[in-house]
Amino acid sequence: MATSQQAIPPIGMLGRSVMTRRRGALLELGAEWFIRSTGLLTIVLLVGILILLARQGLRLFIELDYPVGRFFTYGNAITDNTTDPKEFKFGVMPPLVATFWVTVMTLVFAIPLGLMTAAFISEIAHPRVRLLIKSAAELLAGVPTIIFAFVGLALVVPRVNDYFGWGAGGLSGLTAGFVVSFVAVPLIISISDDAMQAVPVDYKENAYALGCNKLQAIWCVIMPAAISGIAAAVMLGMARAIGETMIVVILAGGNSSLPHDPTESMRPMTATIAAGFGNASEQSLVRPALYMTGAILFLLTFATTLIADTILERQRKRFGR
Amino acid sequence: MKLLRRRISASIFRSPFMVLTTLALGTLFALALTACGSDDEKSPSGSNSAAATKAPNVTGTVTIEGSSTVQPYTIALIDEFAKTYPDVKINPPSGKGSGAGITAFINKQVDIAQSSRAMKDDEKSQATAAGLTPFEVHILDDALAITVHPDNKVAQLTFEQVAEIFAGEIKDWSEVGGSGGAITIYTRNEESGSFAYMNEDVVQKALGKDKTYSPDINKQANAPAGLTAVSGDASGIFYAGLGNLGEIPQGKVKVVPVSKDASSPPVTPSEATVKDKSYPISRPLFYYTNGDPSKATNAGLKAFVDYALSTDGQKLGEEIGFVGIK
Repeated sequence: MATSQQAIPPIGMLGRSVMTRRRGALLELGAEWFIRSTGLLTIVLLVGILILLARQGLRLFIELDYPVGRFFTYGNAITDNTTDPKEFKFGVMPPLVATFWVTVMTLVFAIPLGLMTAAFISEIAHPRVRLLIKSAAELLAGVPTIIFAFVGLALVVPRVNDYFGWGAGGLSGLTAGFVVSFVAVPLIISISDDAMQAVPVDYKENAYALGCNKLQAIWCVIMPAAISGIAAAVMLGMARAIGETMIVVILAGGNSSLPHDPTESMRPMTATIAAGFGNASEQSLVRPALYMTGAILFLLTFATTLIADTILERQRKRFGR
Repeated sequence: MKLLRRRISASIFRSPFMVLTTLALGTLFALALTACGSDDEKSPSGSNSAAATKAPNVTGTVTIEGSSTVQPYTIALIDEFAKTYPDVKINPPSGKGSGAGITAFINKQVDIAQSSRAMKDDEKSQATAAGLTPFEVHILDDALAITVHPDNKVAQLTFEQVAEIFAGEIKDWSEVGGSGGAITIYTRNEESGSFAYMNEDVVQKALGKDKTYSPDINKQANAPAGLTAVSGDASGIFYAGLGNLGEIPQGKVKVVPVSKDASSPPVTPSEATVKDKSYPISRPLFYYTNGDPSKATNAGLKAFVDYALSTDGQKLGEEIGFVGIK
């Protein structure tokens, strides 16, 4: 930071000018290109996945004559291994709606919990408490989701069944969403805490100078200022909920027909793919149907992440002075 | 201000990192998907024609996949088999389900598909199209036990009532003398042989070809998951193979006796009642191989199937809870 007052050339150019002065420039160049190609690989893979999913999936309509309308409107998603388009009873709507309900339920539980925790550790808690909670949240994020699923099966499912009688013996979209929310919460805490920390100190000082108490400062000044970061945190938590597999396989109930409300037993997209892939032989209709479902799932998470990134970018421009 | 700058730069790094991580995870997911499906060019492994005919010197590689009902038997069989034929390498199945095993067989990923149901015509034609000649080896018999919550008062069911419950035509336990209100149906998922067997050999056999499962069935990933669900749901019903009943503590579920029709006595599933064919929901278990295994060029495959049908192999099956065919 000592040279920060001089006109600095862009980082890449700086690297190059330093490099040419050193020995082993060729090695350096090789390393640079290697690193660059690993970076590009991510983009190549991303595009590759989409092409692969679409190519495998579109076979369903083009080669195998499965009606497009039926794929989008049929009220059940049965992944039987069959080659007969008349026998194949698969529509993407029930899994899509199931994913929607689980995601909504996840957000209903995760947003208040995540945001209140973030506000607490960012603005109220003692730095040592903040560190403790933040580390705990990060550890929570590292727990394999199958563990969450089993804890949910042992603790949440019997209670949902006894107190509310929802779903199939307590297995429902709501149960799954509740448990998935504990996977999404650490993500929401971490990112919205960063967003609140990034709100300039003058905002907070002004709020307190005008006589705000802590709650007023958080609710009326800090949260609105950090709203785009918070929105991005929620979007990323949402992407996590859409993609979650193991918990919904075990806790959502496994009813493959169209769910009308979140308290029903259901089978979201990820669980449908997981349950059906064993049946997906080369010639069968299941295989392209699951690829198509995967493509839609991919686009959903991709769009969510993209929106989150755009919002975060806006927050950065606002305070990155 | 310095502190502030550091905080801002931290948040700048955060975002692309998170985005990349998300993308990378997505990538892995899709790669896993492709990896599952792209092994198609691999021919059945271990077509080791140079194998000697002398029994102890048998070599070869055998891969197996399929039914979770047959799973405990195959695993035990592999252990015993290895003692006599140490030079045959056997890749044990993961027990994903009969459908999964037959699909892997059609995709030429395994030599043997273990199955708790007969191969469907559609699957047979898929196998023929792939250049295979599916050969059915009947190894053992099994029963599907109908299980309910231990508090359910239902004393017995007829074969037809079982079919009507799973077809969704009987909707409340009071219609069959049980308790618990509206019936919650648990089944295995589509990968399972029991799932297809219940549909074709119980529901459709009793009620006609145009009937099928109720749309409101709750598909569980495996037998223990279904048994656990029924043990916690007073209105639940589920089916499981005899060998799977040991996978939940005794007394957690109740096995309901089933009668052939209204005039026959109810029968509890057991080895004896499967053997004398008095229990109506019993079924054969199969190994499917490409062509007659006794003529197979893979000596290991031939030896393994022979061993399953031998006195030792059959006795092993009965120890686990299945019924021998001899």
